[in-house]
Amino acid sequence: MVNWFFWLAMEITLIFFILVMILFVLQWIIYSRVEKTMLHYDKQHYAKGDDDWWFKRY
Amino acid sequence: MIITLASIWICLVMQIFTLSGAIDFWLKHSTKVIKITPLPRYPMITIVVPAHNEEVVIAQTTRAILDMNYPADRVELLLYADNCADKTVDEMRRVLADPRYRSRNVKIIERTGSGAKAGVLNDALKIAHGDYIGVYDADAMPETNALYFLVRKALENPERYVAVFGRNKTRNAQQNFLTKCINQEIVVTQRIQHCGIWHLFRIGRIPGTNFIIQRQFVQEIGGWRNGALTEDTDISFKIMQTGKLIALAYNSEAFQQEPERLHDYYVQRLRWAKGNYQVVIHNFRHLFDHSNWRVKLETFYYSCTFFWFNAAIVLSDIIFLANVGFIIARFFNPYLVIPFTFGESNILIMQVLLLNWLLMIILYILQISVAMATQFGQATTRQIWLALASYFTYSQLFIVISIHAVTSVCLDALLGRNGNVWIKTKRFNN
Repeated sequence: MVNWFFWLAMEITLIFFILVMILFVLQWIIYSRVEKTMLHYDKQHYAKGDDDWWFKRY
Repeated sequence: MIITLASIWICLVMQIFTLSGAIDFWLKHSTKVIKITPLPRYPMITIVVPAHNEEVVIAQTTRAILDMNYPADRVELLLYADNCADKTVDEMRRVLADPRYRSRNVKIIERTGSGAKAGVLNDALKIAHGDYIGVYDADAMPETNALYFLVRKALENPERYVAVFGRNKTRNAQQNFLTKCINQEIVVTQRIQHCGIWHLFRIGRIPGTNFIIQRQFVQEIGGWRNGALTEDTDISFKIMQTGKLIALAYNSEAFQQEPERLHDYYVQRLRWAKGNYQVVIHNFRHLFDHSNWRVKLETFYYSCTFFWFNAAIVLSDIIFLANVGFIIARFFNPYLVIPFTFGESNILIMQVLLLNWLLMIILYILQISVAMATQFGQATTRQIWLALASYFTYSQLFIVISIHAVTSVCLDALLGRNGNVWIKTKRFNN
């Protein structure tokens, strides 16, 4: 029983580890996209002297 | 021990599933730039603000609502001073005396009835003229375009989207350690849970504030349940039962004040937890009848979270603390046997389970980090350290609250007590 449970725990931990790694990479993708979009918008905004204060980024 | 572990693993699967849904949502929305464009039409909105002794915050909220980017002649504002013993009404009048707001359609109603917030909303339902009813709590300051975004989403599919809800942000997030932790919790709930569940299943949950709902529809379903501790969760289930949807307008934001003292936080969360337990118990039968699948899924989710997983976490904490206690006691009596192990010599399984726990902590931090990354400038290393600290402190507090809430709900039922006593959350002048 303990042996069987050990292998189950081992497999779950391994799958869990891989998933966490994938989620970690995806988090960086979201982070870089959001920052890039906002910085790009800011650059355009200041270059144009745009006073379109309703313009929102999400 | 094995059942506890298996339960926690199932809980993790559900959590990772929701997180994946949220990540997919944000991957699709992270490069979008939203422009404010005129709407095809501007439905009449009746905004209701229930205020019970809210003299500290009501002026700011009223101004924020009246300054929203929505045609002034399409907004009717009902300010309810509900059983107030302070200067809430005076504060409301002071704001309305401002020449900027003299022409606005605003009514101040001094109410003395019962039913708490749900009672106010039901009273407002009788006199409202709007196509939609919008609700803002007295401490919730909507952002300029909050209502615009809610209406814009509702107009995408007015037949199905009978209600639309936005996000709430903590306006006193930097006040102290508690508000910083609450802010992280709110951010995760809004940007991971709400976005993930909406994206995966088109399931929305009405929050207490910053939402609109079709007036005629609320009248048809009989309004809000008077005296309900969490009238928002209650009406969410009612809406889903009809097969209609509660849509998410993820860019509609309101700034809400959160408790700054542990006692106020505890009382507020206890009320929420009790209210949610009541709603789950009330709706539990829908798991086995011919209810809408979204109601079944929500009931299942709530039942698992509030009963099964909570019990598993409590049990796992008891096992952990018992083992730690025995390890300490061994210093005095070396012959003591540690009670909960897979054999004391089985170091390998212990290492695997320790790694498992470490991954759970990483997942907890990761979901906070993902939530923070979705908004510019919020993903900082300080938030990571805060998340780590909150795992061992703030989030453990909820275990105590949930045990208290379950006990209280059970005792209310056994002793025939009125469990719907609404204790007001304390506001702060900041």
